[in-house]
Amino acid sequence: MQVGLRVLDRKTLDYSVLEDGLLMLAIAEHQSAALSILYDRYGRLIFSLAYNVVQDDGLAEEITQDVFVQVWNKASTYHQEQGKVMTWLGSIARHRAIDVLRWRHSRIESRLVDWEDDDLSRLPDGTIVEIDLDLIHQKKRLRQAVAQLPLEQRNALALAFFKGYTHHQIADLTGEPLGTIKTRIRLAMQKLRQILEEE
Amino acid sequence: MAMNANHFSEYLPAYALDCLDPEEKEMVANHLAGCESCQAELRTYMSLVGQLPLAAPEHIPPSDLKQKILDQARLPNERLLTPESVQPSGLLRWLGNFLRPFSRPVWGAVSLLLILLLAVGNFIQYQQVQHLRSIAMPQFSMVRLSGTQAAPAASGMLVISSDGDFGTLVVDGMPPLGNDQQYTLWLMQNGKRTSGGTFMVLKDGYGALVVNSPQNLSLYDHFGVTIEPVSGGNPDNPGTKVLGGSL
Repeated sequence: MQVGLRVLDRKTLDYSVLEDGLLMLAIAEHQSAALSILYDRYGRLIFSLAYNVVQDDGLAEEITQDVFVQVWNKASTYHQEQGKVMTWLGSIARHRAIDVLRWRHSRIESRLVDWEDDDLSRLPDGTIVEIDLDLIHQKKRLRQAVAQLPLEQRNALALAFFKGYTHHQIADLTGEPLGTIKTRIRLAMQKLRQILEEE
Repeated sequence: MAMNANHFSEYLPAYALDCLDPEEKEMVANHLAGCESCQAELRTYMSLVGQLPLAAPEHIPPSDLKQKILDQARLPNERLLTPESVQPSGLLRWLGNFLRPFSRPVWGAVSLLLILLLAVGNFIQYQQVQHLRSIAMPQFSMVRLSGTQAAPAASGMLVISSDGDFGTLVVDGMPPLGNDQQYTLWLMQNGKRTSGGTFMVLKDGYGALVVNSPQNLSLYDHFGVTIEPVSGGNPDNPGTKVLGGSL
């Protein structure tokens, strides 16, 4: 292998070393090996997000499948000014999952959700490259920041983020005054932003 | 919830989370349309929301989910050179009609059809390389590499990230190589060559390479691809040049 080259062998391009933007370029050219790497990188994240919204393995699987097939078909529409690839994927998955949740349940669910306490993220499958380590570091950083929030703020934020509930719906569900819910969510977001900016 | 100095800062976290009630959401959206300050602040909250999935409790997806996704993705779009996947062009249909009277024996027609399918495959791949040029990506710069007299059918595209730290080379129509040969990408600065890596191509002449340059790629003024022995090329005495292009 030549110095400076990072290929699996001389015939196979190692997509796992590509940063997300270049990976999207390759997916736009319908290189399925690139889609495979994107799944290795974010598949568990998207499945976990979908599962925490719909609380159903089968539906979470369908949503994850929808998200990645949409990426395959629409990768050329992605531009970096839209934000990071992870943010783009997460946004598609969250909205899709919340749509499914609303379609299945016309009433507000009383089941609460919470955030991950374990700041030592499970390692991804296969060989770990620098990009994976960055993601693990981001996870740890964010989980530690969420863990610093008071419990009431964590819960209100979780209902807004995972369930897509409005201030009014969360107030009805928890029995707390509307103003209290608004304040908890606002303070939680402001605090998280401040913690992440300080680092 | 109050407005702060004619701004809607206090609404922005909830707007980013999409948990405002419809009336409030509309009010904030109207304000955002004309307020750059609030737009900038909203972006910071949107970025935060984009990171929140990282704090979701983890669940392991089914082990076969990845394969299902890849199978589904490949179905309509993957480049499969099968008669079913290649849409017959007007030319192919015309040739099919032309060859019908000679269907017994059919070997001649089958051979010709196979050659045509390979040609169509190469053309599709060529189009994909060409398509790279047409994608609007202000974050990347592209260098078109043209085939030399030694390889007039060859073409290539070098995509360089905006910061010049990353580069990917995609080539098509490259001549086949012997077992003891490989292609080398040369990065040139004021006439001095530095290897940007070596690579092989598929039987149809299609190949790709991640370039990992010793310095920022934007510092180079010319890029070339030559045929070199597997043992390595000499930058002062390179082999046959097949592709070249300038930044």
